[in-house]
Amino acid sequence: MRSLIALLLLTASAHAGNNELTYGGTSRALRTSSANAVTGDSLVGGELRYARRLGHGFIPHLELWTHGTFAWGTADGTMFQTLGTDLDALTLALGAQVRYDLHHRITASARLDLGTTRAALVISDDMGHTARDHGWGATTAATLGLDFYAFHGARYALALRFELGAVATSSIPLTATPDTASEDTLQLEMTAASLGSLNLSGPVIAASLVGQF
Amino acid sequence: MKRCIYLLLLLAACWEDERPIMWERQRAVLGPIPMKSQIAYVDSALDRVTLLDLSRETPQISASKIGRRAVVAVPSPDRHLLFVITRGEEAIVEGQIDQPPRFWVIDTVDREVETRAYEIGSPFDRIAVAPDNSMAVAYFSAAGPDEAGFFRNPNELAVIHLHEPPSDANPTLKTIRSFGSIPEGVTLSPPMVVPGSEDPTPRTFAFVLSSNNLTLIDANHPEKREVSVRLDLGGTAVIPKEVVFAPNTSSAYVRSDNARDVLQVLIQATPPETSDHADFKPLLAELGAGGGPTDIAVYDDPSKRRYVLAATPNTGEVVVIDADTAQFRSVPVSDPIDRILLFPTGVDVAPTKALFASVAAKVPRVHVLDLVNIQDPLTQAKLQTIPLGKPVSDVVPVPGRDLAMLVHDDARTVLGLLDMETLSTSPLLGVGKLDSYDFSPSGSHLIGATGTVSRVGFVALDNLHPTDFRLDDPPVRVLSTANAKIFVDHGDPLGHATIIPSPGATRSQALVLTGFLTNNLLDQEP
Repeated sequence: MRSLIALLLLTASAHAGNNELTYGGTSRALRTSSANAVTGDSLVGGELRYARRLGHGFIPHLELWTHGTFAWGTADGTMFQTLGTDLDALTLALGAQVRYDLHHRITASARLDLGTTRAALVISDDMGHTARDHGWGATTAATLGLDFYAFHGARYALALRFELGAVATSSIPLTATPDTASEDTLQLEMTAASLGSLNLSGPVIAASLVGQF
Repeated sequence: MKRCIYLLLLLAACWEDERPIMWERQRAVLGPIPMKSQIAYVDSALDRVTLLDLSRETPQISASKIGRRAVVAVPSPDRHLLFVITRGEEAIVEGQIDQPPRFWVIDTVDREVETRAYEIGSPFDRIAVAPDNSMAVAYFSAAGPDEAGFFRNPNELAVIHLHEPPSDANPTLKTIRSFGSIPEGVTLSPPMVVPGSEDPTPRTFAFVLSSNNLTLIDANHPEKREVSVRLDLGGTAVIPKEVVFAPNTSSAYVRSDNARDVLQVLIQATPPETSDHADFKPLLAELGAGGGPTDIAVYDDPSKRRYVLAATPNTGEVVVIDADTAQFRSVPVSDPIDRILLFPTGVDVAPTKALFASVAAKVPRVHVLDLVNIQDPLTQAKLQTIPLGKPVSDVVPVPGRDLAMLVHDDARTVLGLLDMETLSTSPLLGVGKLDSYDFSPSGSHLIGATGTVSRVGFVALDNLHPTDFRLDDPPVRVLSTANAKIFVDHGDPLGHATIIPSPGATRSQALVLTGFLTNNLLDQEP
């Protein structure tokens, strides 16, 4: 046991690898008035991220990473007690992360992402009427996090990451149109009124499992 | 490290995701309400009136903000103005506001005119409007609104002068004298000059109908005392149902259930006892031969002489009453007539024929009375009976045409058209229940829809040629606007309608409009 602890202590400051995969869950508090219209819930989902170490910084224990993130989230709600809403969001982002070793098993990080997000909204009532639309918007996220390493080997490492930050998205214009009965049937020309713009900005909290190799 | 953990915990403690209460309010959509060439919807949760202007090729959507919790919406007789009562709100939780009940006036034609709000003090849920749009009366329905507060005075009403801005004196809240009954309806008269009065200005009178009572209010001077008329004779309750006016003679004709006759109310001047008293009095006369009228109609002959037609099944006749002299002429009809229609229709047209139907008894025939020279006792009354073969459940006049639509069953699947010139009938068969129908403004087409069939049916009333128009979705209601466009509402809470430019239009000319009830919903600020 003592030898295992000694091994861990020895390898704690060593680099486990230049690649990293992160998989975890996120919760974003939707606080904008447009998001409040759709749901009272938070946008709950997950994220999958691949990161690669770019190198060490000028400061000891400081590392610079770059990454690509795929994130998803969903929230449902009720408007005016009768209209059900179903919100789905997908995000593709690229970003950079600065990490600083606070302790041989704890790393603090600051992350900045830039990307695009797709919001899809479905509104339905209990009479069977359904209308939906989706749109794309820009997104940026900034988070602060802590990594708690469970294992930090010479080639591999495993950690739990907790992050807290904020996501800002541009307003996504939506125009909900009703579902058509049949794709094959010729439809009348349709004009749909704008539903308005949906803004999914809000503070975010995330917990994820990190594997370095 | 501890600092970092404390910082994370502090930030997590700040996690708050409260949702404004406005998105959890109850929502009721009043409408579609046909205006002139607009269609109006009133949204009680978004506190707005959405107007679809169909006067242009592309429908225009606009919205007018109103108060909290709309309960009733009524168009003006000319369909230019929309009147809405909002109940208001009491601020109990965060996000609610204190707002009194208000009466809103929205000009649906001239969108530049600012929406006007009158504070009416009580959450009334009924509106009566004068034919000239000059006055309105807000009052309680017999059931009254729910959640109406600690006390409710069902005999209170608000008289609103629509040509004057809101002020302390406008509207005037008034509680009418009650003999134990509550108002069941209010009818406002056209402007009438009170004969013999020092004030020659035409006035609007509010006739408040309640069981055993008729109350007259000078709506121009609502601060003055009202005049009450007892209708019963101590027996069965007499319930006034219908008032028609003869403004040229400053009189009104009241038909009541369980009454012996049509009651003529002639308004005349009288010196007021005090400045608070009314300066008019009603002179009452019972017209007819007794028999409990079930329907009345009023018309002016070409010489502008006013006549009242009344059906009195108890005596097995219809009576034609000279409103000025109270002389009457009886025409025997054995059927229990309860529906009278006059032809040709129109405000400035002297009718020449009257159609009588027995709707409640579903008698399979109607009767047509020639009104030309009917007042001459030396001429024989020309009453023609038209056998139909099927019972009559409803009779509707076709606007602008000498046609009547006959409905032969409660499901409204079997219809007929009666030509009042030739007195011939033509059957019309529908594919289902006629859930909604309207006539084109010129009377050229009957437009009908049933909720189970995604089609709108048209019947050209010149030659009874039927056509139909395939819709993409089932209709809920069909309306014809003043500019002859056909508006088909699909009953979607987000707004979904098909606009057909004319009865003869093709599918390529029609347009589906969606989402208008939630237009810019996400941009609403709580």
